[in-house]
Amino acid sequence: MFKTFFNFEFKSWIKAPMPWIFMFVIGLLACLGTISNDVTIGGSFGNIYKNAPYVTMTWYVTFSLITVLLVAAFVNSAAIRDYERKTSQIVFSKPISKSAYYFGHFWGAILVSMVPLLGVSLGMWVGVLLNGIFEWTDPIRYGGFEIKSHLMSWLIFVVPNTIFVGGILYAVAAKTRSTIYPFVAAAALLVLYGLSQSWLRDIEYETIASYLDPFGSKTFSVATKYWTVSEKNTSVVGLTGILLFNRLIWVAVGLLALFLGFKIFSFEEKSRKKKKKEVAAEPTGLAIRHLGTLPTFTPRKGFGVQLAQLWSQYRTETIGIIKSVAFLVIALLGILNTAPNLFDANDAYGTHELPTTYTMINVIRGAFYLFSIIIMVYFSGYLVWKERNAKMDEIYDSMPMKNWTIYLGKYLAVLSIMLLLSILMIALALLAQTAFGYDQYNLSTYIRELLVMDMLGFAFIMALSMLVHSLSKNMYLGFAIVIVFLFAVDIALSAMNIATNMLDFASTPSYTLSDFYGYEPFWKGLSWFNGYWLAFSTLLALGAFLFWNRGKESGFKKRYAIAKQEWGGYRYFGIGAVTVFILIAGWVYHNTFNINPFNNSKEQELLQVQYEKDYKKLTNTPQPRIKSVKYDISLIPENRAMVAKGEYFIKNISGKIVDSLLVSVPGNKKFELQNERLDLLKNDSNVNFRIYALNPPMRPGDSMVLNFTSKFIPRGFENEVTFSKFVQNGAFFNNIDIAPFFGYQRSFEIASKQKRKEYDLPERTRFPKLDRTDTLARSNSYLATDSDWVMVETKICTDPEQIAIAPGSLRKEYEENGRRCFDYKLDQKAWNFYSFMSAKYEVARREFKGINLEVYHHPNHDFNVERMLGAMEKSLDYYITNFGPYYHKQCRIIEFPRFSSFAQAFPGTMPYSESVGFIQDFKEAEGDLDIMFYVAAHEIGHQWWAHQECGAAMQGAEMTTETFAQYSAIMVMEKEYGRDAMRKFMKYEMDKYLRGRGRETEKELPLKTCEGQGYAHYNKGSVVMYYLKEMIGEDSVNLALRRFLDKFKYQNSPFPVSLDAIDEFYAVTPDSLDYIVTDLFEDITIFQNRCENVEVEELENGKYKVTINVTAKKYKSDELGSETEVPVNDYIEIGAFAKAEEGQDYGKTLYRKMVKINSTENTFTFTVDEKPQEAGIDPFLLLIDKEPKDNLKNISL
Amino acid sequence: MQLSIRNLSKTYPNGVKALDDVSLDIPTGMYGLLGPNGAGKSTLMRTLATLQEADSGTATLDDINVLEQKDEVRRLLGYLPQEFGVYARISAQKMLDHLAVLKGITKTSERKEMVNALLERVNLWDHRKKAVSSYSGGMRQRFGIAQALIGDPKLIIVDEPTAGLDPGERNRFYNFLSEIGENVIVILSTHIVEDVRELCSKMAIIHQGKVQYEGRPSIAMSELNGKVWEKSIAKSEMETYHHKYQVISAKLVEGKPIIHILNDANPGDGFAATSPDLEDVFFSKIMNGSNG
Repeated sequence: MFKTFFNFEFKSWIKAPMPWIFMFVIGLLACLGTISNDVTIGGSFGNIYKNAPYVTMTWYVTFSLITVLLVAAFVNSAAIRDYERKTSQIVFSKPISKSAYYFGHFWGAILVSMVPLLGVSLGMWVGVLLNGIFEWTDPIRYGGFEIKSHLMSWLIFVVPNTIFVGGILYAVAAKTRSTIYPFVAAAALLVLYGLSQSWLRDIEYETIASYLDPFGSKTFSVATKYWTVSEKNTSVVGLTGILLFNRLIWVAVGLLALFLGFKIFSFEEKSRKKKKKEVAAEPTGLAIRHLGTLPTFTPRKGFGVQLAQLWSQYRTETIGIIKSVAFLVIALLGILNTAPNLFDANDAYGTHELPTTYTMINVIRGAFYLFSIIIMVYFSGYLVWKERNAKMDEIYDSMPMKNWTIYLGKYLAVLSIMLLLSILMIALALLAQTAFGYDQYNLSTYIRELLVMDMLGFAFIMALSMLVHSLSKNMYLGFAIVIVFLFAVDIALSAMNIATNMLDFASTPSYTLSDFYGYEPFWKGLSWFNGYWLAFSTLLALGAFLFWNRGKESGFKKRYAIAKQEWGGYRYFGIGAVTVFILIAGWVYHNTFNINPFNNSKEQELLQVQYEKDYKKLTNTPQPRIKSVKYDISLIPENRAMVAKGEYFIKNISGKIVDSLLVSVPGNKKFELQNERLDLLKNDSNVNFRIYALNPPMRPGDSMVLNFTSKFIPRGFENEVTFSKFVQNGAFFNNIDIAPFFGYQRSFEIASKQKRKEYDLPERTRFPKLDRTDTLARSNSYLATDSDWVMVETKICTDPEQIAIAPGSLRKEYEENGRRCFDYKLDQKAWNFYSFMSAKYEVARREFKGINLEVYHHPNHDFNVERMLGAMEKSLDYYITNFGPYYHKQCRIIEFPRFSSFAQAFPGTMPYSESVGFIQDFKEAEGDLDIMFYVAAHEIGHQWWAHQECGAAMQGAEMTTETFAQYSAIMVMEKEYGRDAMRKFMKYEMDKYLRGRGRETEKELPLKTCEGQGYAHYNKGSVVMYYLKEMIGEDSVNLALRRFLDKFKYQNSPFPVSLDAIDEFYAVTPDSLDYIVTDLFEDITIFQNRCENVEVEELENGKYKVTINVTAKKYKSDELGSETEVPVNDYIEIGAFAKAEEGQDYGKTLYRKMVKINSTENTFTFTVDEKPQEAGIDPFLLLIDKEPKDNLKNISL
Repeated sequence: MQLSIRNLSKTYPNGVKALDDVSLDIPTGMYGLLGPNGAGKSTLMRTLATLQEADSGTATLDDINVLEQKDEVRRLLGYLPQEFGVYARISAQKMLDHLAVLKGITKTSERKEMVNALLERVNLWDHRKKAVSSYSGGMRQRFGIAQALIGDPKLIIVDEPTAGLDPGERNRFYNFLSEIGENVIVILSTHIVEDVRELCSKMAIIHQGKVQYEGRPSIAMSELNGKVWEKSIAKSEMETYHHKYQVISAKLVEGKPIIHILNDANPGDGFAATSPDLEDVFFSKIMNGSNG
């Protein structure tokens, strides 16, 4: 009997189109992802094969989540089919077994639910096959077909997830016998999943999250997060450990739900009593009374009547939406999904930030808009079909109201629902801000962003959706067209390399708000583009008025004839709308194509290719070097206009005759170079490159003065605002934005390996090879190609209310022609790489050892300014003591607007983004990493490591700057927060490093030869330097660094290479420990330390005896992550911790000792004073460890 | 007031000729439109109710061009479609109120008075706050009538209105209709012969898109005087009689078929004369239509 129902369920589906359509769609996606070079779903990039086992499994994880709703559809139908078709009474009156019926349908539906996922394997397989023929993507991006990864994906994800989801939803469907509740339950599962993921995203909770994720997705990502490229290409996750547990738990939950559902399931018809009640009782007596004649009010007409009809329509529809189950459910899910996020604003480093309005807006967009958009897409379609779905259309359509009143009534109803939801979100956000004690309510920003900008976007999409539905013959087809259109436009345009916002439906120039300038730089473009789309949407609405599906005609010809009749009523409106659209479109076109033409990314790439092909041959043309620079910069921030004049003093130190100048000029500026010895030979304005002949040429040792002028005067508006660093308030630009530089610039070349292949460019190394004898490469630091240490003098004038800042000490502040002017001059030569800034600042000052500490900040952003000054003081103190003098008279942190999110170090000046540090929340910071402090210390570290010495443009260059700045910051932090507190920082650094190397696109290199890989020179650098310090001592490390610095401080060519610093490390390291320097800097060395077992015994004196069994393994890794085990013979810490106090992440350190370990398996015994909570090996993560999490084991007493 | 339909034709994209050169003159009063299912009645009704377009022909209501001046027609129209539903979760009163606004009764006081009177009239006053979707079939039909009477319509079109009503309700409904139909045009489309006989002074029979007959029911019946014969036969003989005679109808009486045939003279063979009723007219016209 079971078999009968099972077969019935399975066969009836397998013959239906639905499973196959879904399989096709999924297959198509997987196939596209496999053949396209640009799609990186599934985590395939760089050297990871596009069909690597890891990628396969990621596809499956992703899709087994997405298909939750599919499973809902299948099991739901299995559970309620007999009720819906009213065959239940027939079926249930037969002598059938309840369990056979219940479980037969269930397993049949489960089997069918999995069919669509076959599309993943099929799609990838077909993709590889097709690419083998057409070679859209480089064949080296593919490995063999690893059947095991597909089978394991089914075993680990597809089958368990389907059973889990199916079990719950089937039980819900069988119980409620309703279509909507299982879908609500499915959506609720997804929301719960999302919530648990966001609550548990801090890596502290990784293990809990691994158990709790019902879909195994987090579990999978945790299990593979440190996988190297070669592991991702070859290994398959096994069903073991947490993954096995997780799967068992959740399959059990699904089966339990299924079983409970069975217990309460019965064949009884759903009690009809309740239904009866809803049906109104028949009135007794006469059905139709004769009560005299009816009032004879005749219908009116005219515009007033139409407005009244609009209002009535609007009111009816709005109330209808609010009362509908679908709306309530989706809105509620959205609120549930958003509210917790609003009341919890963490960032990636496990710190807290102030709940600024921008943060809140981002949370609302990220968490709520999905639901808003579903509501919008659904109701804008549903309302068009409402009368027809309710079979009320014939009555409705024969009423004498105009199409536009129906349309607009419905349109405005959906729009006001969207508004209402957004207002609700704003109220929640304000509440959250109040709860945080944050009082800078920024209501106008909420209103402009959420209620104006976003709402306009929604309004455009709704106009489109309602037109599509008016024309469509079927509601579902309408939904499909709208959804596909929304995705397809972007994809199609990017495939065709069309970048204009004029063709990308509803798109407007992108922008970033800031407390400094609000919308100002973007306002004009935003307004015009919004106006453009508004006019376009009006045309869409006009189309819907004309083609409104009224009456029973469905043929195109007849509908066209009706539209023609309708046109009579809309003639003037229509002609007006078309005219307005054409005028606006013309104006926008004129501004974005004629006045401010732009390149799309493809054109940009082609220019890069052309630049490389035409000018690379000029690489070694001798060029003069810049020795000093004077600027006279006049800013008119209110117009975003500037005139920057400059004077270069240049000298020929090449030893050869310089007869031509290769000049890269700043883009988008009117630029002139003035000197009577110059003759313009070539002006390649597409790539901003000019060649001048020098008459007479510069002889070796000659020098000359070169004047230049850069003018930036914005006209009209742009497709996307360029030079957005120059804003009305908060300008922050570099010298390269206004001044020329000399020679062929390698940095302009296309860097991506794949892109180079696409354009037939020769393979390119990221950096020249590390070679200390390569004097040519060592003749430039990696910061500049045309200058060494320069002197800079600046006169900069700006708005009277603003303060302008240029490099060096302020010599004079004065008024000139109503502008506020400042003269600055460097006190010490520096790199020709610095910034200019201007804004309405407030300045906090402090003096420390004769240095002026200054924080320039937005008047409202004073939360952390005192702390910043403290961090500056502590950093300078440590660095001056340990590394040598500070050569500037001032040390400034300058806040710049949110358009970028970083901090940077220029000589004596550190721009620091509005969105970094300034908004860190210290009220909540108990136990947090002090990111503000760390970033400040790092940037001040650069005043030594980068601005006193800087590595040659060669592999390993960043080790001499970034790695040492990291080390410096760590030491200042350690002084401030204590040695034990570094545990959390190291954990994050280790995590970032291990993830970074797993995502390497080319090859990982040892630190000494790192080439611009942040995970190496920052994150690995931190761990490595800290271990070195632990092993040879802080003093020795500092001594080595100081010796290295003294040797290269403010020196010209040859610039230092990483080996110069490593030499100094060897010099201060005892010979017996030399291997450490080799391991850390010259090799990629990785440990796998693990605590296997802990035993604790309480002693009579109240102390505790701890015995730990630990394993230690050591590996050397090659460039792609293939590892070779080497014998372990290293100093590794062991330790134990007390239980963490309430609200703290870590407990007190009870024991910490460095021991020499020279075998894989080891046992240690020690006594501690207090009751230990965890113990193990390398608890502070001093060594690079493949699996840092298993170093400690919890103790259960 | 007179509705004149001239040479109205309509062919659906699938080739079905729903209206084939239909010409009718419909005066005030009850007008019956009789025809089997699929005859083209609903197409004609919907065309008059501005919901469908004709391929050719005209329809005028006094000086209003029904096919083009849709707005004017809609203001005069009361339409009860054959099948209709309502929105969920909206009360009868609110729904009627909204429909009244759409009709053009925009003055609140007038609308209130009208809606209340209509609810009283169709005896839904006690249930006015209930959702129409929860109404029984009969109540729903009464709601349909109420909405068709909004705004003092001059042209009332009711399409198969008695489907699903019990006999008592049907009678009351017809009384009501005939009362209204005294001063306005009421077009009643139905496939039930009884309806027309009881109510309509004029009627048309439509079959396969063509008008088979137009005139008074009584005249139509008298035309068949002496031509209709009936006989009780055995089931097995049915085939033979169909071959032999022009059988216009066959119905079971106490389990035995009684057939009516059309014959100018007494055919003998056990047939007895019977006085023709409208049903005989209907079937004979339809048969002619099919044969012709």
